[in-house]
Amino acid sequence: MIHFGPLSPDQPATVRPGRRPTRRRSNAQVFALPLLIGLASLLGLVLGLTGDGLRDLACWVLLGLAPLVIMAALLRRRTQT
Amino acid sequence: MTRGTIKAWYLVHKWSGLIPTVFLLMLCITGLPLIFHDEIDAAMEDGASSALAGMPSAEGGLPLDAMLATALAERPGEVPLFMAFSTDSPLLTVTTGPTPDAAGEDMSLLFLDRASGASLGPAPVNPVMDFLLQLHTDMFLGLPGMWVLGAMGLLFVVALVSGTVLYAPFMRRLAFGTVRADRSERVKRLDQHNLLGVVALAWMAVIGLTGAINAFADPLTDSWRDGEVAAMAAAYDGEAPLPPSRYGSLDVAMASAQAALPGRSPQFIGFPGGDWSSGHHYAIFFQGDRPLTQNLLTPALVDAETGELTDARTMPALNQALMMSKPLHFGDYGGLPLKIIWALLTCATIWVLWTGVMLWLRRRPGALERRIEEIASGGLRKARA
Repeated sequence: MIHFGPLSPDQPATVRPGRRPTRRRSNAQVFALPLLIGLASLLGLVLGLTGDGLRDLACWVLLGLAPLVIMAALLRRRTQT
Repeated sequence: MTRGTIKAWYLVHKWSGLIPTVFLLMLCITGLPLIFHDEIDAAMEDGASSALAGMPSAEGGLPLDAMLATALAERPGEVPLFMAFSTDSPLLTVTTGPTPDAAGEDMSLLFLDRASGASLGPAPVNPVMDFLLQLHTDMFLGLPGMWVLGAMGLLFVVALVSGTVLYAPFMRRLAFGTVRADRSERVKRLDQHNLLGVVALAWMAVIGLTGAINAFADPLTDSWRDGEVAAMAAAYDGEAPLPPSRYGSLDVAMASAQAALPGRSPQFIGFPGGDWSSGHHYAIFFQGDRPLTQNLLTPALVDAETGELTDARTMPALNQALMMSKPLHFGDYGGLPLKIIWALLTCATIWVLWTGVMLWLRRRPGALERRIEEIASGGLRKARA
């Protein structure tokens, strides 16, 4: 079923202020940031498991990225509106 | 992605998520305090064991035979089952029970100080934490309970995979991190579900998989003992199990094991006839000698009567994966900051589960077709509904 309305996937979406409804993004674009955060998490888990000291510090930073991103995204929308 | 494909993945996601949700919420809520069990235990026992000064019990101290005699004097009539060492403090623990193959609930755990030789008495019990741990492990249902929870963990992983597949078409036109709070409650929930789900994805997958592996731990240990240990102890086939009265010196046994595996710290000793040894051996489990391998144990089987080494072999890959999956599931290997991150990610998981349930509870007739359309159009169409 193909729609030819104003929001058809083949046409640019209307831009709303304060948000960036982008043009159609490829899978690579959609997953770029999630993949980066996921790889950082996994690297952090392994580094923490394989040593102490500096490796633990790297583990906290890399794995801590995920909760930080979540908090930033949730807070951003609060200050926006 | 066609609408038919999206619909299939949507249904997989819906059911692989809804079925285990109640269990997963229980696991998250009981897991939160369990993350901090070390801190909670230490606070309750007034730091009795952390205040010990001296050489770590894994490296040295008073003879093991003397420590075992002290422990057995406190539990007359019982036999030793396990002795475990610490790499941080002189704390040494001895587990005893009525018989060599005693069940877990009949075992007693004693704390001892290997530097002074003093007994510190029975391990402090914390009924609340024990209750939470039991609920988290098997829901008081034994092995079947563990397997149910293991299966729920695997369904959780299916939900994570299908959710990731649906994330792609949904986010075609939405920037990463978008939470449309100015729209309906449903749109806000959906955006939060997607954001928290994809950001915590890697951690949730690791926790789900390692939890499932831990749930199937007992059969894996049994198969290692019946296969590998039996092969290592093949020369003893046909002999009756060694009675506790004929157990020989632990210090002699430890010396022969360390001669075969030099430079490694012992983690625990499984006594003959238990789940972790043969009927004739002290199974002494050593940690790896490098950071990367410190969680991988190598058992040395030592004849419990003569103290002579029988064999030392690394464990099979599946059992090694099991050992790695324990710390990875518990998050107890990187100090307090890691535990706090663990707790935050657990809260994120609770929110993903909760928003998922609410999206389903607040659905309306014809919802399925609208959802498919919404995902296929990049999260925009019908988003007002």
